Amino acid sequence: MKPIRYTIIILASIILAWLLPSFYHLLSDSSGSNAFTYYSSVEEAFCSIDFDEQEERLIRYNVKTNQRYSEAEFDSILPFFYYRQLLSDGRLPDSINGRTITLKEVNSKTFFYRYNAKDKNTPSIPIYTLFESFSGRVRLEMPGDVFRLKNKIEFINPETNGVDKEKSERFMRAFETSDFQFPARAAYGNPSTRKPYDEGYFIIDNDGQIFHLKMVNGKAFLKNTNFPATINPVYISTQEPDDRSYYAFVFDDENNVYLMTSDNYRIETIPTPGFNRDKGRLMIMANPMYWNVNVLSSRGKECYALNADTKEVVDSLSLLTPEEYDFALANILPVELRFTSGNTDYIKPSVRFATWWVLLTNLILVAIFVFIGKRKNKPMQLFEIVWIGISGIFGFIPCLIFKE
Amino acid sequence: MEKALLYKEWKKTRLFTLGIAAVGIILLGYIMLKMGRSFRMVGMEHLWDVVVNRKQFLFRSLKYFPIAAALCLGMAQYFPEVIQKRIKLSLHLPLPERKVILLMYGYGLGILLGIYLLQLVGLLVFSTINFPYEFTSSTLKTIAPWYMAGIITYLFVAMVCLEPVWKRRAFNGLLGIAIVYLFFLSDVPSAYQPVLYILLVTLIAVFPFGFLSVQRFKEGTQD
Repeated sequence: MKPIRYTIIILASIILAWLLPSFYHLLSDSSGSNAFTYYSSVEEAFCSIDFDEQEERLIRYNVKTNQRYSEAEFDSILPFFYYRQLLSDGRLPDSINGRTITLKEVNSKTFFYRYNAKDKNTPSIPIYTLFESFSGRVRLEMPGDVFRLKNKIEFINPETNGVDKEKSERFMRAFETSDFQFPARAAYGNPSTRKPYDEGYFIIDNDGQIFHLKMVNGKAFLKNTNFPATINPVYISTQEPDDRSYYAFVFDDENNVYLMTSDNYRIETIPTPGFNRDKGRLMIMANPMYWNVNVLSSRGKECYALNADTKEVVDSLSLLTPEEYDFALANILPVELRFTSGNTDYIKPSVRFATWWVLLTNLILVAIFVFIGKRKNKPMQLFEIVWIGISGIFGFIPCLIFKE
Repeated sequence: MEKALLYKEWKKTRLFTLGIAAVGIILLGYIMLKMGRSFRMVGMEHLWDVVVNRKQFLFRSLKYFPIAAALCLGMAQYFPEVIQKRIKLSLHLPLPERKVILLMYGYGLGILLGIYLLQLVGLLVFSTINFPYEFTSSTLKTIAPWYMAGIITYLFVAMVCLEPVWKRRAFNGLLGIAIVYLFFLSDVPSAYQPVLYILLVTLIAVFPFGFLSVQRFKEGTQD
């Protein structure tokens, strides 16, 4: 019966390694600073809205000069972010730093893009909806079928759950006449009718090449984007910007981010130092003059202002905070086991280890366990001693509860 | 002797067994009827869109059935053994005690797996007729943890009921609740895909726990 008892102790220790740190976080977690930061095209410096602990109110200021602004003044120095307010007040400028600005340009070149590691790390059913891209209608309409793509393309009619052989063969011919290499690794699109137009799917083939697939007048449009062979794409986030200037953001296996433009699929590199596609977030707030790129992680954010035309970094600001030291997590709880994470929809175990000082805590717990055993005249239990030495408090509790 | 023992288990649990089987079938029928209504009201294309692009899971009503069924069957089977310590009689039969417990386990798990299988076959047939195999595969990955949690619930009910000491019963129960909770951490379809093998290892590890309770009972461990 000893192996069964040992299994119970080990399983209970694992459960405690998951639950105890979770309860500890429930008691101890507090929110960090979450300042809004935007690069001012007027002042050519980062400006921020933050909560002032001393004054207990929101303050608006220029990060470089530390000059404070009223709400109305702040609208004026961030004209692209607050252009609706400025327009409503009749304060929208005609030009900024000598550059003429039109409302049409502001409307078409201003966008927000958010990437969360969860966007990529989420289970999905590999069934795709391909809209008619050239229907002549203002609104997109459901096409009446979906397709699957692995070793071939097959269109399925949802009403009958059967394959539409004629359409499948028609589209398959487009693949066969191209240099597409099956099996397809992944297909990325935006299967929503709530968008102004449709650009179909961007498909990564078995060679890592990106192909553009869409349906035009019922016919297959498949084109190799001639993506650089030196880059290995792992995720594509398709977009439908108003000015149709680009198709998608492409993420590679080295955490680089690229913009795939609609200019013959030309690639532009978006500088994102410190970005981790599996653990971090990315936010791009673009305007006609600058792109604000925020690389967010558990330690805060790094802000980059890019020239909107060249995508070169013109200014940067680091708002990273040092990893917080927590006495209990570093010295008492030997590991922190998690099954869920804000970076993925999958349930996956992840472990964070404490410092070596935790071994001292483990040793003290072993001594307490031996002392309790001696007081009760119990023989020395080698398994328990070794296990508490390894797992500390997580093993100590079940060894006391599930004793022989 | 074995047949008599199995008959005793049947006599004890037949009402619960039939009740659970009936609820399982009615629940599945209800889901199918509800979905059939959705097919007629919004059409299959919309339903497929909701499943694939909005990550809605159509069989969510089944979520707690496996653990509820296991809890009921386990209680029906083991609770009478605890009252007045009737398990003593079973353990004094001219059969090895391990065999007696294995027969009781085998009966309960057989019934439970039979009901689960009945439900799964119905679900698979329905899903295969109406949805592509990618959807059916995602469905199986989504519901697998729920059914594994059902089996673990049954094993913990046996462990808790057969344990002679109340304090240890409470700890066993808490451990069981925590382990079962591990199988319900996410509502996202197929979220457990990378760890299905870990859940299976946990299930195998939990399987013999009840034997420790029986051993402690036989040794006369008391409060």
